[in-house]
Amino acid sequence: MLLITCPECGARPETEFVCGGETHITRPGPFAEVPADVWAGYLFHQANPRGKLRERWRHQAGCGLWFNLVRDTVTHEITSVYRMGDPKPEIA
Amino acid sequence: MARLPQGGRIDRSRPLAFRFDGRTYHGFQGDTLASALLANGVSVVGRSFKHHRPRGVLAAGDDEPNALVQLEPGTPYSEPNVRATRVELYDGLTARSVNAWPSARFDVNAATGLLGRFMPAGFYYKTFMWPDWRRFEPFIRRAAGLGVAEAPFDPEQALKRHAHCDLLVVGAGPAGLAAARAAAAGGGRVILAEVEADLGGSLLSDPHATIEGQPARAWVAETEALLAEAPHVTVLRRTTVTGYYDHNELVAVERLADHLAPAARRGRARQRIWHIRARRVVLGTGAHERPLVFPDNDRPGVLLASAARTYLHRFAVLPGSRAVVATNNDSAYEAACDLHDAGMRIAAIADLRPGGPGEVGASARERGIEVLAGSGVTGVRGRSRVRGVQVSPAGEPEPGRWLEADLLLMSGGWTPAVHLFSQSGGALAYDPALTAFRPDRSAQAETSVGAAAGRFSLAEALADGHAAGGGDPTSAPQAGPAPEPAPIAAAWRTPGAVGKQWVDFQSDATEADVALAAREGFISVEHLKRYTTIGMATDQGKTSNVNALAILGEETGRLPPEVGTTRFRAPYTPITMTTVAAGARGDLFAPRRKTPLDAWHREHGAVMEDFGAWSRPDVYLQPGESHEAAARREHLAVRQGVGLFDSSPIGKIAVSGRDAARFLDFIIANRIANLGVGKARYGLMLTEHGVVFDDGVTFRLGEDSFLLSPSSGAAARVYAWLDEWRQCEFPDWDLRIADLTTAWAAIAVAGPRARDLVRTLPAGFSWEAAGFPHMTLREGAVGGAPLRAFRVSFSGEVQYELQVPASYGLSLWEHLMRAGAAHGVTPVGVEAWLRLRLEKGYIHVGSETDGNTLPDDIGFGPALAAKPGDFVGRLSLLRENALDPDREQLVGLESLDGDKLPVGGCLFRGPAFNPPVEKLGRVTSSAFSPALGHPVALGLLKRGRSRHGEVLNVFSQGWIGRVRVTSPVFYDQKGERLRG
Ligand SMILES: [Zn+2]
Repeated sequence: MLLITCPECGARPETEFVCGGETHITRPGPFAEVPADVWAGYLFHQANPRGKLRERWRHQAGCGLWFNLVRDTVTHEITSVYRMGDPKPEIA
Repeated sequence: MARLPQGGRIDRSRPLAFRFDGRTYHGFQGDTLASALLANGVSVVGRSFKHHRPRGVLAAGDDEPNALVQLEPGTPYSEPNVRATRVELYDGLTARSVNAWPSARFDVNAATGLLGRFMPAGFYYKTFMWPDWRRFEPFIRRAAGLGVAEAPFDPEQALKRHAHCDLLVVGAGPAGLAAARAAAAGGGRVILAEVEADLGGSLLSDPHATIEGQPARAWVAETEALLAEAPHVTVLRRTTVTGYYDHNELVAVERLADHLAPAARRGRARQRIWHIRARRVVLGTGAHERPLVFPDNDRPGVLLASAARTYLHRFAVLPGSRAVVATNNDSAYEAACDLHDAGMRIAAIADLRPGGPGEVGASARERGIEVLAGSGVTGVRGRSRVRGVQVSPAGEPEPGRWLEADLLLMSGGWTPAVHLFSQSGGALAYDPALTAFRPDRSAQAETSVGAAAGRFSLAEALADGHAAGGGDPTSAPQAGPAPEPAPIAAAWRTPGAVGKQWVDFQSDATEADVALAAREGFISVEHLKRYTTIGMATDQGKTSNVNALAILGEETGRLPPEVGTTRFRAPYTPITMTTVAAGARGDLFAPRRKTPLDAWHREHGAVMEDFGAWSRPDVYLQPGESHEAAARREHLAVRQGVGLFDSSPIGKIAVSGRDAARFLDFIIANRIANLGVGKARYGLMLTEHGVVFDDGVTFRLGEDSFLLSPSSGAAARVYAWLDEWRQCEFPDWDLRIADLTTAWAAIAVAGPRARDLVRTLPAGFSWEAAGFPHMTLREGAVGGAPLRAFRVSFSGEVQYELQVPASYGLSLWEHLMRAGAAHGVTPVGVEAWLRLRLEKGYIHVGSETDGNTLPDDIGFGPALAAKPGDFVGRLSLLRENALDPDREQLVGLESLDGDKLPVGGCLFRGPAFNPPVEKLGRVTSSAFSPALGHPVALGLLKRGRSRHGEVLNVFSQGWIGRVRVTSPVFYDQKGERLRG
């Protein structure tokens, strides 16, 4: 079970959180001008890397905050936790 | 005489009686069930899984594959498949062998000899194929299988604890003790978990070892005292660490009362499950001795050499009187010498190595023990007990000589117990010097020490543990001198010998099964495992893993590192579900939500059912009334008079702020921005894939204030959904979102006489239709409490939904019941309520929708297409698949035979059901309609909207009926009644 550091509450077990998947995905728009392939990319074509991934999590059974973190999908190591709107950290 | 008059760690002043397979035996406090059985000369303790061969105790610990018992059979405490080597004996213990009838000694299936021949590798895959499966299954289920889960409800209690520490040490052998001792001196929080009641591990079975110049047992006692005194050190005995998970979380099971008789543990928890988060972990889990693979190596009386040594030193048991020892390494010599010194005859040591043993060989020869270098076992005589052992020169065609023996001790080398390491994600490496896999690279903050790391000497164990515990290398505890070892020889099986050679005792698989799997192409070690079931029994192949993969390698011309090993899975040893659940079972399994009117419902005949998390009245039974009659009575009351429905679980999500209107216009697929204050509108919520995710009415309380009413089961999900969009996509918008679902009680007053009833409430506004029309709301107060009244209708009749703060719910309900008595007011349960909506053709999300349903499928295509702005899921409604004219659409279904239509029934075009038929759709909701006098249903049907009037068939589990496709609205198609 992962140990995740909520920016508000500190380190808490994974069961208190839900994962919202990859973060920093921009919703395409305005809708009347979005080509089908761009919409398909938004819905389905995620990076799904073997390695470091920026994803968003919610402290569901805690303060309710949505925030971002960087997790290695192989080792589960969490190398960075940052708030919504904070600059996107570089990942190797 | 199996029990020696002195020695061992048993308490001879406390004799214990126990029963096994119907006979009474005696042991002592300190025995395990396995040691007590051996002390009583019981050689056959079970039958093998597939072939029903008699089996005896093989090992002395968690690796035991054969001695599985049903503990306390026929009582509420009955537990299947318990390893007798881990059962601490208590007075009155009762156990039965598993997989044998009537007993392990006389087993009917073995006598018939039916099973063995026809259960080769892959048997299950070859046999259990439709339609033959049906013929074989009952027979196989009777014949194969281990113990049974007898008790429907486990009366035992289990506790749960969460703990954090700087260092978790798993295993209190020499390495683990050295680690804990060093770490305790450093002052950190230390947890030491040991599977046995006593600390010491392998040292308990080794009277000759010395540490720091004193007997090892003295060092253990000294360490135990130091740990007991050290602050922040927790020693967990009888505790198995069963799982190693991410971020250094480990799960352990502490057996608090297993060693007591069931009567003595009544009122106390039997076990405690620990969830331990450790900054660092030291794995001192030791190693398992491997069997040698030769013909009939599964006969009772064939034991692991180290197990025999353990039975001698810990339990003062000699498991035989005359032994042959077979080995490919030095460790078995210690057992041979100790057993010789305790009075056992050692007929010979057959050592597969042509060069024989290292320095330890001298000890054997001093005792006059014959050492046959370059020899191995090629046969075993005796069925329920070893009677003779054939020893032959390795590689020679000529069979060797038979030695008389009642015990055969074997050692095929040692496999580090890397299970937890493997679970932690660490990488293993094959070490030819060990002929086993050992930890290579760690994935987490973890260190394997001593035998678990493939470092088998006491000196290495102490040095490893001391260093891993943070000790200064110069102060590591020193082990006494050890003889110079000779290398182990790889020996995986006995080629050319006649007879079955067992690899996995518990799965009952032989080297021939491995060879067969390889010939049939199952050459990946993971495929081998599934095909032969090797390693898939309750012992997870602790004794068989390395032998099996090495033999697979021999069959396919590969070395063990090329074959690789399977990934080990938690739990390390089986855990009872009671312990996994700890307190979370029965009423405590999940919180059950109750409405503010719950007690009233129960006092008035309500049949309470779970609807999602909510406990709600399904129907209110009157004396002598059937469930169906009650539902019809309640239904008619709403159609003809007035009914009260407790709709408190309906979602109540408040959204306010300057941007609330444009936010909801984006979240909800229907238009919200142009909704007038005081008005209500029905709408759908979609996912970004365009799929209908919930529906409900939105009320505009003020210019910047809205109330959403998602379905009761979806309230929490809808709240989370809105909040995700607010936090992640619109952080700068002026928005406040609150889930007020449980803060308000909600009561629906429905029926042609509903207005007569609500008029009795002086709420400060008019209840009349002219001033308070359908799809509007009013706010006022009644009896000092704020009141919100909504004119919406799920029932199809005039309906007022009244919401008051939850604590006022009961008094409002009771007022309405009193005031409505003159009008025949009737409380209505969920069953009738859902039938009312079915007659109106209103969808119920989750019944008329699934993970594919788009708005157009349920009739909302045109409304959404006309909306000017963007909304969640909008662009997905233009996908090719969304525009397919063949999509399933919502329809009504009228039963032409008068039968109620089965939900899930398949719609097809007749006349007969001859598969394959084209499935045109399915029945999604179904009920008898009291208003119409016949059964009605809703369904999803391909091109359904253009099929009204068509006659189709319905198939369900062999039943076929006829239906006519209709509009989904069966009742009051113009909607005049609900506006009244
Ligand atoms: Zn938090």
